[in-house]
Amino acid sequence: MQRKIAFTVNQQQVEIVVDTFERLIDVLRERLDLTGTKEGCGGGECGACTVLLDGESINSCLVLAVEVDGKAVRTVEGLSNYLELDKLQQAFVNEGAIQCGFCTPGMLMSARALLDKNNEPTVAEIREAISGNLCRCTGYERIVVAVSKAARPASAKA
Amino acid sequence: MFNKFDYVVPTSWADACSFMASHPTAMIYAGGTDILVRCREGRLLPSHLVDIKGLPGATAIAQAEDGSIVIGAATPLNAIERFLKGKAGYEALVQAAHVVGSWQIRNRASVGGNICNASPAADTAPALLVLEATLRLVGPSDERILPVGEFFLAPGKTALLPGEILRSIVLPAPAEPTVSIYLKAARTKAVDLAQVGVALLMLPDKNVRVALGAVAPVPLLAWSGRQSAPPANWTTEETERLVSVVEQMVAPITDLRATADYRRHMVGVLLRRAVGQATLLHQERGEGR
Repeated sequence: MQRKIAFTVNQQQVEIVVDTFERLIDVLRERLDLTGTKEGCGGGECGACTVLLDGESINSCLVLAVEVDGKAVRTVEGLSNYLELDKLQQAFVNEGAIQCGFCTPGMLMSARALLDKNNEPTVAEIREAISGNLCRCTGYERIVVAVSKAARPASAKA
Repeated sequence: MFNKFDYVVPTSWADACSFMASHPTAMIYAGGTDILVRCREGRLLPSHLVDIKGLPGATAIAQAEDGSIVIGAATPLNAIERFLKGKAGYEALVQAAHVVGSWQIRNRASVGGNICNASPAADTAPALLVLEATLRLVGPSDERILPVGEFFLAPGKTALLPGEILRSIVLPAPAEPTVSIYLKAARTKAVDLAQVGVALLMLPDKNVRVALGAVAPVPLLAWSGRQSAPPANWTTEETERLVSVVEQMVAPITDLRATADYRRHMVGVLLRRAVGQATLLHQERGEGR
């Protein structure tokens, strides 16, 4: 069973025919070549597949592609404008918040969702926002520092 | 990946009910955070997923004129937390909604899904039990109101009849100053099911309710009755009497998350902690008057 859906990905209009049992992550990665979004566990535990759906962070492995008809999806590819990095991405680079990098796209999208609503989050709010994103390399400390620096770039301290 | 289910968007609640009644292998679909995981593992093989999120009131939460709060069954847990935060008496549901899964999960996972799965460990269930929530169930020919205490029949089994759908949850307005608390024991702070969940509600008239999760085949209202002291003046003896009564109600099992002994022990630990927090809140609010 197939459906035609129309939605935006990183502000670009997309029209595509999908299977009713197809996941959003598979449409993003396999059909639209947006491979920045990663699949880790496939069960909503690790957060590597996090993207924004109408501005809210969600696990794209637990959303059906048919459900995003008429909605706006934002992936990690939509953060930079290909000339310069989003300040959140730049903060991750500057603070050494990346090691292997597999969790990074999901981590960035969870943090982006937070900062879009709250540009001065507390450390507790940052930890809450990334509570669904597992990182096995960094121990999270540098990530939390990076997010708080991106939130308040004028401040030198986390 | 998944079995080849079809995806159905009903145009009305009646339409959804009649579809469900005529398709016994169809399943109601809201946040998808449980159903898709179980489909992926092959434990569920629905013929159709019937998405109710677009139906009238399905994702709405609002206060009615009589002060009660009506929550659409597909309302995500984060929306519930946002709406109820700071409203006195509803603390247990705010806290229970907050400890489910992760932030991303709670942007999707619905309160209706949490209770319709009928997991003994569902975090929102003990909170809804102490708040004396009622459920609006719509069926192919009529609808009925059911107290949440009559909804859970066995692990994975609810009182929903074929073709019947949970439409909304109604929370009666609590008498002021009610305080409620939900505490959860789990192996990790996020993204884990409860080893034990304890909800406590203390009314100003000395009535107290305690509900438990993950210590019996269904979420359990373990105690509802009058105590000898008002909440702000509870003594250790009052607390210990309540703990010993509640402890006799549990029938926990050993599984991968905890042993039965640990669960039994944690009921007392969490209940004492909840009483401490609730009496403190009562005192604070009493002084603020």
